Amino acid sequence: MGFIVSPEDELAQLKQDFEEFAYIVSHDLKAPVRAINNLSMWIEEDLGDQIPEDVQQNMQLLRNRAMRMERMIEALLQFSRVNRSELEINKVDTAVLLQEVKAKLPKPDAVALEVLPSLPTFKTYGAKLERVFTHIISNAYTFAQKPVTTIQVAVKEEEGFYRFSFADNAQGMPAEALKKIFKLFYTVAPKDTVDTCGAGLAITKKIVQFVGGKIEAMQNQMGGTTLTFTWPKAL
Amino acid sequence: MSEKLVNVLLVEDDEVDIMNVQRAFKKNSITNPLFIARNGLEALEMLRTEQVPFPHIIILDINMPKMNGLEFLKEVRDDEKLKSASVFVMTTSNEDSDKLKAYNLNVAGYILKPLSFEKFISSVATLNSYWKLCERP
Repeated sequence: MGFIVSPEDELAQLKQDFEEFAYIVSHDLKAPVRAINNLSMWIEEDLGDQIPEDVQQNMQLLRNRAMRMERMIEALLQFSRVNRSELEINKVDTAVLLQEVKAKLPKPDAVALEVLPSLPTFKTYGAKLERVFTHIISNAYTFAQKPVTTIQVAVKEEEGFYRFSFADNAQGMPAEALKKIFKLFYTVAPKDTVDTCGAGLAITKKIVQFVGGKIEAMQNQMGGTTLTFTWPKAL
Repeated sequence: MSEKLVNVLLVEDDEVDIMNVQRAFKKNSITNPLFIARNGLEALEMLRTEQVPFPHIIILDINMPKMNGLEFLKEVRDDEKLKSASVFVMTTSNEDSDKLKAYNLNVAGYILKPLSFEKFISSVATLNSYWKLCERP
């Protein structure tokens, strides 16, 4: 008697393998990165005043890249955990949640939220929705080169879903970039100019897909980007 | 009155992480004797043969070859002579399951290895003042 493996089972197994892989890789990768960081500090320390300026500069670059790698590993870990973490279901007032997300930003005043009335309150994965809001809002203002980024938030009701849209007036992005922004570690601006590793929207997409929704990005009339995603009314 | 220095057993397999602790001790002028075991088995052997004199505390990594930190902890808690040991976990594992398992085995603390050496120095300084405060049998 042979085993009959359904495509669904196979898919589930593949998914699980992938998540385990990402978890193990990211864990075991952290140790050498930390070692590189520490060793560069110690080399500098041991050379003391003898250290030539260009060597010191290179050491700083080395640590900067090590830190970027650490951030990427952390992001990979978060990405791999989407399907198995933050599964608590609670009642979420999305209007309140948006304000909480804004308040937790490094510079809350750099974002002006224009929220349309009638944002829903419903039972869902609160922590996941918060993560989605956080990534979308941080993304808009990290890449905006202006003192205050305005983000218009609206919700439409659809059959079984809410459709949230976040329209920003940041500098926008070229049409060909719109699809790529959901790829892990893709950034529109060079990674040297912004302090990001380009994982926020990839994680966002994975969360939205996990709950059965869809996400897309488009250019808007304010010259910025509008991110739209659907989220189920009930789980 | 002379202050009796507690012996520190570091259970760690990574050479650089060992140097990390040694450097942090030096930076904080911590003069406690430092013993090093490269995995849980080696650590058990050192404790059971009394190579690490009492009083002692243990700084424990989780991911290690041969016998990992949690397996080692379980052995320690099951051993009549060793079970009262203060153990501080120092690891890269930010997994809730690891934290829970460690606290269920009565660890004195669970510390995440920070990326920066400065932060590590200050965590070791805090540990030092903490274990100085603690009374031991």
